[in-house]
Amino acid sequence: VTVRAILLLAAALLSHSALASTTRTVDFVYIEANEGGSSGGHTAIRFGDETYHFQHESPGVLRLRRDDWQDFRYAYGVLENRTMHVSRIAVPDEVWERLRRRFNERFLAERKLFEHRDTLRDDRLLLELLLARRRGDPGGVVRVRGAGYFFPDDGPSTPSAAAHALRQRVLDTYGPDAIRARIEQVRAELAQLSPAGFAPPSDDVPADGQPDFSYPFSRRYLDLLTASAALRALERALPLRPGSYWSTTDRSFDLDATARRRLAAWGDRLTDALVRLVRSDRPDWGFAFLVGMARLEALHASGETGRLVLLDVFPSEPETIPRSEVRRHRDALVRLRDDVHDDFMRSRARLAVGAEVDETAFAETEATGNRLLELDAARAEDRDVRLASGSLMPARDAPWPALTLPAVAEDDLARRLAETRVAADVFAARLEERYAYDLVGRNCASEIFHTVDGAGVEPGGHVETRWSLAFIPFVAARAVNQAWNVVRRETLASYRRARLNDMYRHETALRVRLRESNVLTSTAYRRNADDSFFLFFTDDLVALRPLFGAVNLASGIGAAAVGIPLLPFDRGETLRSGLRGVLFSLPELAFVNLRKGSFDYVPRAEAAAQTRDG
Amino acid sequence: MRSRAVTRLIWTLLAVPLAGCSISDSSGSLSRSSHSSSGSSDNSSTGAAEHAYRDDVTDYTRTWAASGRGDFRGFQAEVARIAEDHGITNWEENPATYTAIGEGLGRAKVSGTDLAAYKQGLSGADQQKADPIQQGYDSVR
Repeated sequence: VTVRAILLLAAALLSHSALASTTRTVDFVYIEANEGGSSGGHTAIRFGDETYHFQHESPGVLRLRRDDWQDFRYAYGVLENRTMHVSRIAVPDEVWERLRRRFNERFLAERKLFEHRDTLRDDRLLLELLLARRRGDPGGVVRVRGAGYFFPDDGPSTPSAAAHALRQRVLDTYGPDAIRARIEQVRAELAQLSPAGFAPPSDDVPADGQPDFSYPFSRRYLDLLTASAALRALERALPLRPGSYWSTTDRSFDLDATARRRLAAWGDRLTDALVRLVRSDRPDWGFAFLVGMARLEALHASGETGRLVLLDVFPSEPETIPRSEVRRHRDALVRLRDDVHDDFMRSRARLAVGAEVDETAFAETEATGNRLLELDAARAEDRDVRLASGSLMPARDAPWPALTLPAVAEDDLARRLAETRVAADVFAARLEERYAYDLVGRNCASEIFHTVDGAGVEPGGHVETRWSLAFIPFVAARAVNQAWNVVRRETLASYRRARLNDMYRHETALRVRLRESNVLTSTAYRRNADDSFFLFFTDDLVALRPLFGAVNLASGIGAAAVGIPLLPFDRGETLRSGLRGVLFSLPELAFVNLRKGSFDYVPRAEAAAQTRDG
Repeated sequence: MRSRAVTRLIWTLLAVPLAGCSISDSSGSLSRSSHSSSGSSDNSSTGAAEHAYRDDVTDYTRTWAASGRGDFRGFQAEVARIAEDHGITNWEENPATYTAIGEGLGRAKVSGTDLAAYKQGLSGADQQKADPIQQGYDSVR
């Protein structure tokens, strides 16, 4: 028996090492339900740091999203307080790469399709504007990305020393007339630009693969206009506009001698790159130049003041968290500020390592610094907090009323405008139809399986979606466990459950159960204004769920009743909370739990300590 | 077949409340002001960030080349868009860009003759761009 056991152990070790050398793992993640955004649960697939999942968005479309795993875990497991069930699937390297590539290519293709919808709209707006100008209407402007750091030009201003030095470098390199000549070249191309020289607007939504829409008229026109703005800013060595950058007295932004030297060295390399960019034939060079020149001026100011000066990278018309919400979550804001400060200090520390500062590292410091300064400013000024849904890239735009009218006949402009209007409408309708959310046929679970099918490889077996209930997230997880090559299953407790588990290790179970069973005495949960009204948690209780559900139902009704006379004072907030409380208590009467409570903010370090996983 | 369809319909009606999927929250939330929620991964190390950028450029180039089209300006505009997602404006001088393009061309299995045409179109005969394209191409062949 002993020999057999040793042989078995040896075989297991050998097979394990063989597995480790030739396979990688993909995680299929089923996320339990909660009230609000997802009462039916959610699913995702994870490749290393990247998590892909399909989200139901306005106007009724299902979009593929890509998130960093830690961010995904934090959003769903901590803030939304939802337990995750991970099925780890072992696949050969080549299968892993084909699956990852399939999801990523689909993500990039889908994003491009939705961008094309916006491009067609931009084309239409630009053609309408040019046609109106052609007919003598002087109104209307286009907005030039990146120009907002220098324009609108408010009249005579002291030239910036950094911009002046850059201009001199350009003139020394290319000759005394180089900037003027380039301005003329760009103006001439703008004047000659004709929609007829570009492919007709496409309303085709390709079935599969990467859509290849040609470089459109509006994009070329705006790229040239941006180049023109860049050259004008350079020619006049314009300084940064007031309000387009942050200059703070916060000591966290102080620069020591080493930091100043490293940033100055990056400024020198940036200057070299900007000189080359003036002659670049990349279509979007003007935008890169405006951002680079603005950063150069901010770096120069940093060197002079000994404190990091950063461009304000928030867009001109940003999303915001209303002041009222900020007030409602004042405590959370303080904790959030601490986290953002830590992020900023970490990114600053990264600037100090490595051979030299590069754009990626600087951009990260710029973004985290902006988030920190924005939170401080919003709190100090008692105003809305600005957000950015994309990456925080300096792209402040400016209105640009001085348009060069292309030498195109009015009829030609009108004809192209009519074509573009039709194409824009048809494309938008086709896109919405193609990506329409369908509860059964096209949802977060079914699309993961369809995408896997499209990769042409199997992570074990095949999950049938046509005649099965695998469109339901928890059934999908079960189907994966049965069909795919699952080598490990793991449950990642929600934030509250993880905290309770920790409490059970240090306190008596009864004491924890009694205290944490309700929102009044719980120490793990603090009432979140975004949650519906309820008294008892029922996600960790099964036998007592209908009883506690009945109490929750009664308390919801009570809150709704109280909410009626409060209507003029709280604009229906209590009434809505009570009614939602009633709604999410009903399933509890039938032993079904959806509501788990959620958190407005949990410090990242605290969340990581409670929900540590691989 | 009809009975299966009916069974599925019944199950579907019963399961409707259980198949919601996540709805994106378009309203502002506090947590979003601390972290970006974008198409790009929020990689915490420079190496991981560069790897993610290279993957995106490689994957995009592969499908673009596989579709057999040659609108170089459109291609450059899309690379610029991807670079912006990763916090890069000066993509033309980022050493990872042209290597990743070469890898994408290699993964699309473009022939040696086609590679020369792509190199000419994308580098404009600039050897500092053409060389990394070739290196990236060779690395996956």
